[in-house]
Amino acid sequence: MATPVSDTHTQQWQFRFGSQYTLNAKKGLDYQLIHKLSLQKKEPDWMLKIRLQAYEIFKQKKLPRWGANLSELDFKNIFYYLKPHAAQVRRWEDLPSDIRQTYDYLGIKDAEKNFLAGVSAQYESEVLYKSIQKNLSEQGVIFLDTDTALKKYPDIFKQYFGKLVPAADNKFAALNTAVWSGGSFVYIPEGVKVDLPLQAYFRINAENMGQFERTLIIAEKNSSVHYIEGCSAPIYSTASLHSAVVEIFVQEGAQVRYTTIQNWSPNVYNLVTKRAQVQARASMQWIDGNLGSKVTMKYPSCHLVGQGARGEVLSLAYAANSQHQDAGAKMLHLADNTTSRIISKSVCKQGGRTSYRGLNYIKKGAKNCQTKVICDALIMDEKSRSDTYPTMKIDEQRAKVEHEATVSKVSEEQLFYLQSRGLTQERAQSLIVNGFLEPIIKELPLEYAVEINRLISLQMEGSVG
Amino acid sequence: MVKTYWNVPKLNFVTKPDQSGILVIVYYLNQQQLTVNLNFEILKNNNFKIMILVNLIGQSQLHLTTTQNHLEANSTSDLLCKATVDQDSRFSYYGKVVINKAANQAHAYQRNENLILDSGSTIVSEPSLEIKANDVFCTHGSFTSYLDPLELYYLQTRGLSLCAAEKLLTKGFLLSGLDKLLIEPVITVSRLENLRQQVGHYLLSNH
Repeated sequence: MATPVSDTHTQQWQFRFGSQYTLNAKKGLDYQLIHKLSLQKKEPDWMLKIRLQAYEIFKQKKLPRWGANLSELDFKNIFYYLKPHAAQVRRWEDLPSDIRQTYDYLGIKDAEKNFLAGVSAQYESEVLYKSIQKNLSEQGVIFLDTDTALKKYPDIFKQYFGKLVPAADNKFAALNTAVWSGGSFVYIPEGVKVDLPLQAYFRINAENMGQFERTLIIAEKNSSVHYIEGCSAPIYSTASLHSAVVEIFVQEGAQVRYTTIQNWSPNVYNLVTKRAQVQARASMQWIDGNLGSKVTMKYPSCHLVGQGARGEVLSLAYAANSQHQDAGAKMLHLADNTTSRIISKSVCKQGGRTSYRGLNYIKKGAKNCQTKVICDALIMDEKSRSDTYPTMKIDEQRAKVEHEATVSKVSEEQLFYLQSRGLTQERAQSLIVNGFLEPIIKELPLEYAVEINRLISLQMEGSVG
Repeated sequence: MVKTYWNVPKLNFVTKPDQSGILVIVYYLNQQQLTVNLNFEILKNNNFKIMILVNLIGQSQLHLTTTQNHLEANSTSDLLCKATVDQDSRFSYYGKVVINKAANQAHAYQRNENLILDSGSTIVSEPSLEIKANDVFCTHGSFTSYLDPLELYYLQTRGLSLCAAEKLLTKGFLLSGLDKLLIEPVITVSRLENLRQQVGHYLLSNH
């Protein structure tokens, strides 16, 4: 069903340019499509087998009974695989002009020029444009789209693919395993520290287009990497589905930071499974910003399996115009001396709904673990709603578990004070909201922080009265 | 109004408008299993303090659900649940705060503090907030830990046995909740002292 969107929203999202597709597959999913997809990608037989098994699981699994309302999601009305007409190219100038035009709008080229180590831009289901700086390759870092990685490094791929998020994990993990296409593959060899962040820009550009990226990051012992994934999608009339799977293996002493800014158009279902396995003395940090989409269900998790491992999630959710952001985090303490922290900040307005849903689990025998959850929510008007559903499961005596949550509205005193200093009510409100989100935003790379601050100021316009 | 309840399996407490009060609910289980539902309906101009104290020993299990249902405007509820679990016991706490659309200017607080006293005991804590009004202030917190080894060590240096030190700290942990009630106008100092002794005796009768 179409989602009613305001004029500001339409303007904000209206930047889609027409594209041509080589394989305009029909809507819906069947065995034939999976065979065709696998054949076209020239995949080994074992991958086709995994895909078909996953499809079986997908058919059997039921939708989750908890969380957001998914009843309007129609699996038969979605394209599961589309391939853009251009083959993979190395240089920006070689990209087809319509694709280039869309990317220019997003500013990806400038971003790459100024800041980024490598760009792997996802256009529809295929990575078209990628450039890895020479010094990265020299260090042995592999940064490819997942399809190419399967061809070039089948051994590493087979060793890690689906080991952390198996197809049987949940219905959407099964769907992704069956029809995955694109995504990023990152391999950091032992001891290598990547100074500049690696970035992939994701983009959905066809109506009813489902995106099923599969991202695999392997950080070997004592290595470190910061991976950034940003999303932006233009507006459509019918609901689209984005269901990615991200698997991250953080080996002993390694450090991984994964930053996502999700800014899908307000008709996209964003149902993502993200999981990291953290070995001894290693640290994993998820920074997760959820701004767009119709429904988001996303709970990045850390399996702290090695002694002294650390996990951290900083989560930001913003819901307006009947959006539902059901976001949170999971921390599983499975070894001694593991620590974790979750900070979640959410803002809802104009009938939006934000929910924090999380799990902190301390396994029996995992001694001296510490975990802390802080979640704060702001409710901007009487049409909006905010919920908090944390779960703490503690099977070990020697553990410290803390959780605190606060829900409130923008304080009248703060508003009054700022207005007494000469600010308009609108400006004061946007300043307070930006200040509220500051602890998360300051962790973002500069260009994202600026973007989000602007976006929130824009959203606050006309929110008074 | 001050009311106390001992091991109640079910409670549906409906306040009257403009009422204030203190509810003290105590559970002491030894080799028992109990599932409890406590429902509090908070109306206009209410101000309620709810204190739940739990001590589980001897492989006991308590499955406790509380609901603070704010139905009307300008109401305050403050729930504190303190629990100690020992001897392979299990405490599951599901605390819900619901603020209905009409309940603006609601202040709802909920706090769950747990102490695990032995390696065989487990805790599940699931506090949740469902807020449908916007002019509200709600918080919840949940803390689970074990007896501080430094505090135990200090008490032992003062001549207490380890066992006595553990008992003293456990008692202090459970009864400290009651001390916070002293500032409430509905309770007198002598009534509170009386309550402290009663609750202490009931909760720690095995000690």
